[in-house]
Amino acid sequence: MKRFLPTDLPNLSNSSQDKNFVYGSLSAVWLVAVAFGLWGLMSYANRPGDQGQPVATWPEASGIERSNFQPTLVLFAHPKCPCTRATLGELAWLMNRCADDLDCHVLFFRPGQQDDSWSKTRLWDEAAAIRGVSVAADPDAQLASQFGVRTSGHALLYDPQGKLVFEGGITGSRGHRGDNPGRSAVLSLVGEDHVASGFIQASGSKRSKQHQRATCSSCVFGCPLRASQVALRALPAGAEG
Amino acid sequence: MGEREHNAAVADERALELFSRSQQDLCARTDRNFALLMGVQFVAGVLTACLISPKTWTAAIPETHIHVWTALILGGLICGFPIFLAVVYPGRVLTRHVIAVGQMLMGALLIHLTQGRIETHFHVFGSLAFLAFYRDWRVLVTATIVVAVDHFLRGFYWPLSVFGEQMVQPFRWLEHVGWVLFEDLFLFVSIHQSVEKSWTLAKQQGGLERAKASVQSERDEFFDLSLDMLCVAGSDGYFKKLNPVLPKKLGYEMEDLLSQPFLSFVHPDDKERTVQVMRSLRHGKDVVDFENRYRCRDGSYIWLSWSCRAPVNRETMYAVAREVTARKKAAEALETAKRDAEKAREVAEQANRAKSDFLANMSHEIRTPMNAVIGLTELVLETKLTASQRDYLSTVLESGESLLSIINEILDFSKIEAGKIELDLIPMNLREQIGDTMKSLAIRAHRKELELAWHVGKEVPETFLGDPARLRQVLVNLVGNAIKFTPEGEVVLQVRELARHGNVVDLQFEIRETGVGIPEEKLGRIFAEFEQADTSTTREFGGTGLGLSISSRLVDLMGGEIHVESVVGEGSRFYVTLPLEVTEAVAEPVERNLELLRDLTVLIVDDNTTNRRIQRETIEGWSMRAIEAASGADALQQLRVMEAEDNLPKIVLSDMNMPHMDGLMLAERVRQSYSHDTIIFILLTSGFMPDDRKRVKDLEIAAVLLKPVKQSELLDTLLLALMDRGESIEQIVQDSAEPNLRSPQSLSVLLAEDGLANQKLAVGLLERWGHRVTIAPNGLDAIKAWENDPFDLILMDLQMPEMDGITATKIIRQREQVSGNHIPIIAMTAHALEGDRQRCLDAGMDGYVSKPVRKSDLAEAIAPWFGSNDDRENEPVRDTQNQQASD
Repeated sequence: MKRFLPTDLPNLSNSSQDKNFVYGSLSAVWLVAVAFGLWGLMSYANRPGDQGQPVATWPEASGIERSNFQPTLVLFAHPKCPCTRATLGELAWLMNRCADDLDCHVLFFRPGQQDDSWSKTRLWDEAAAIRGVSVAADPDAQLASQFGVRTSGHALLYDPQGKLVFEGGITGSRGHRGDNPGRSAVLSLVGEDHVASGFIQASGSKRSKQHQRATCSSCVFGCPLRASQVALRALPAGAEG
Repeated sequence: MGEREHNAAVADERALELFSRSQQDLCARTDRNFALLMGVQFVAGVLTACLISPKTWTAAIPETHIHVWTALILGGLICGFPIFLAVVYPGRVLTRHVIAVGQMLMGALLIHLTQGRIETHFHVFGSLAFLAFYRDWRVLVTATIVVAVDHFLRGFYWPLSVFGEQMVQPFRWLEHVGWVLFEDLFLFVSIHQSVEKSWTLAKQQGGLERAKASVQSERDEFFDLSLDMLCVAGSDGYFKKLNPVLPKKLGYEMEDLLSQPFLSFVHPDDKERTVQVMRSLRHGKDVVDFENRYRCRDGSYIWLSWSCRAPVNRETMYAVAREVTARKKAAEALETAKRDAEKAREVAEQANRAKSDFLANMSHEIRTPMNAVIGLTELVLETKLTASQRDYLSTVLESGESLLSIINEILDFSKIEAGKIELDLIPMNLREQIGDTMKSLAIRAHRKELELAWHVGKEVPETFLGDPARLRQVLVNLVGNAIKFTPEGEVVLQVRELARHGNVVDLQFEIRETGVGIPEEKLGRIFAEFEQADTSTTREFGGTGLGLSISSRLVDLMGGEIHVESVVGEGSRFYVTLPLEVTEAVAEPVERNLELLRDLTVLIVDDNTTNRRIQRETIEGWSMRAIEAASGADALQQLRVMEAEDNLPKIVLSDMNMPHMDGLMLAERVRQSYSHDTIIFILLTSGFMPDDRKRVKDLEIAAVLLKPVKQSELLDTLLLALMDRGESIEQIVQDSAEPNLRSPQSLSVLLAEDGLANQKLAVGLLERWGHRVTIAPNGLDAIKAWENDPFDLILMDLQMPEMDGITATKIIRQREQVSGNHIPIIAMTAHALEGDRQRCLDAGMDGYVSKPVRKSDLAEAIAPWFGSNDDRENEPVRDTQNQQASD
């Protein structure tokens, strides 16, 4: 059997043996380093964004039409966020199943100085293509502010009475599609499955228990829709153009 | 351990070494490929990150996405170290295992960068297949472990990233690992087969290496042992390999020959040819026996003969050489010798030509005075002389003729030596030819009282294609010699057929004599020039010693052979064998009624047994019966007996010269009892006997024939006698009296001759024949005389002062073209060499007589133009030279 195992040339010299040791040690270090790197990457992928303070009652002042007969889902999205593509994919999956039972609005962030073309990216088109979804711009994230949302991919589900029944992301991690608690909660709340509880804890949300009892929620993964004042000041002139 | 086991162990060891090396090479090669692949994967990771998630946004503020940094840093870390090891530590176990780990981790990274796309999982399967290139199943184990751990940890902490679901079964990772193991299973089988095949190839290669080493070893042995020079040369003009012979031959060290272009050792004169040979070798042509010279260390050159070959599409020439210096030197020596021999031959030929010219001149110089001596002696002998004066002059004449004969022999020999004799092949009747020849010798034989006989076998055909003059010359020489050297007894010429090849018959001429014989030690030399059996022979018998040599040469020329057998005191036998072509008879033979002879009885009376035997064969050949009697008394006794038996012979053929009772006495006794009507008596004699003529007539002897008798002659005599035609004896008997040479008309002859003696001779002869002679001492005077006076004939000498005969003849013939006349011009010259006759005829002459002028020759030359009393029919132009030479 020995001959089937390509080994190092026989009679390795001492220097070769030393090298083997050195490279072997380096290999171990390398492996640990890579493991840490991958671990860090995984941690980043599972680190949610700012959950904000979604309003519990539909803000009529927002100007967005709400259905009085069926639930209304409002999804805030950044048109250039890489993670939001997964969110739109999940939205499409949802709408495919309950478009007739759900009014859906996707509001794309737009800087105030920009026109709609800044927002009309591939994500805008993808969202507009989903049946039952109406797409609109959200200049300077004013609507997001009215709804208390700070992160792209944040979805709010209001019942026909205008009461918030779900808030959070509809992806399981950053940019990753697939089965997740948010998607399942929306689906159940819209009518297919009324078992919505139990996901909240699993998703790692930090909501108060009181809030938890009134509204389902999940973690949101996406880019921030509103910058801090410090960040805005650091923006170079014309960067938004 | 036996030798076989040892060899097997060595073979396995070598196979293992080859296999290990092959595997090692394969792993190093695969390391390099993976290094490349990982580099590509790194770039692909970065690109993927830039494409899918280049930036992250905070409202309207962009910044580089962490995935891009991850692709660069973590991807660089994952790919960089394996690439590093592949470069600095290729083919090592550690390297390929690190590569396996890195490759599988890169898959994990790519999955993440593509945001968990399920398609990216195929990277794992592709990587495993690629890792199988190592043909090391342990690498697959490592890779599989990495996959298993990765899936386990992800399934535990972040199942969505690998399973697409947030909630999974605890052993879902094992399902994934199971599929990986499923692939591993096939890859293990494939690796096993591949390794087995590599092992087989390694063993085969080991075997081939051993065989090659063995062949190479044997080749090297022969290469070193060869006695020839063996070379391998490159197309760059350098020797690549040499066996020790060439360095040894040339005296150089092996390195000297290998370090310089071989053309630098070639002789300057041979370089161009050598280059040409190399060119033809490059065109795929083999070169055999090419020779050139190589310089030795001492500066000398040796000749080498090469056989070379350059296989097509190879940059190598193979050559074998041998030294041929000795052969070349021998060839050069031979060439030099040939050139020397050629020069010597030219010198000899020149000398020979000079000799021939000398002989021709000598011949002329001797013949001219001889002409006068013989001719004038003949004239004087015809006048009234005293007995002693006639005797003296006869001796002068004989001596002159003897001298002339010697000159002729020398001249003949000279011609033969110069190769100037050509055979004149014409049909000839062999029996007539021999008969005439023998007859001409009869007088000499009879003068010595020798029996001269000849016989041609019955089987021998009549007519052959041959040169009668040369045959006659040979026979005259041999028979003449036989007569000369035989004091008593007989000389017999016997001709028989030895063999027949189609139309060609090998005839043997045997000349047998009872002479002094030749000592055995001399036999081998008698055919050599100027040799006689004894110098005393010359003194005793005279002669130049050239006769046999000339005969030998002539026989050679005729394609025959000559040899001699001899017993001293008993005699000699000369044998001449000639191949002669049988041909049709020239003319219809005389119609002879042989029926008249049938069954007649002939009594042959001769004391000589040979003669009796020859005559018996001849007689019986005509269907007659022959009875022999050895003497006159015996003949008479036989006649009595035969008469008693009433069986008398019709013919008695008796010899004249017999002891006790000669032919005439026998005839007398016969006639006492039997008349001519009963018995016809024919006498054979060795000489004419004028005194007995009356007696012959009285005894009614039907004919007296001079021995040796020709068959045709005897036949004619018998027929005439039987028919009783009444021919006179004188007409039958050979008449030795000279013919009447007087011309029926008197001619006016112009004699152009400068020599006084010859003038006298010619004038003497011509005037005796009743002609008028005008003398011109040279060609010019001859032309003047011809212009002034009418002549019937011009006798023109060739060599004359002021104008020679040829020129004079040409001028005369030229001038005759105007008048339309033609005067006969007969050349007289001592120029007896070949070509003279044709030269004369070309110049416009009508005949040719060689000097010394014999009256019969001159008469013959003149006769065709004006006729004579002699009835002989002659050719218009007759060359008497041959006739004269053989006499």
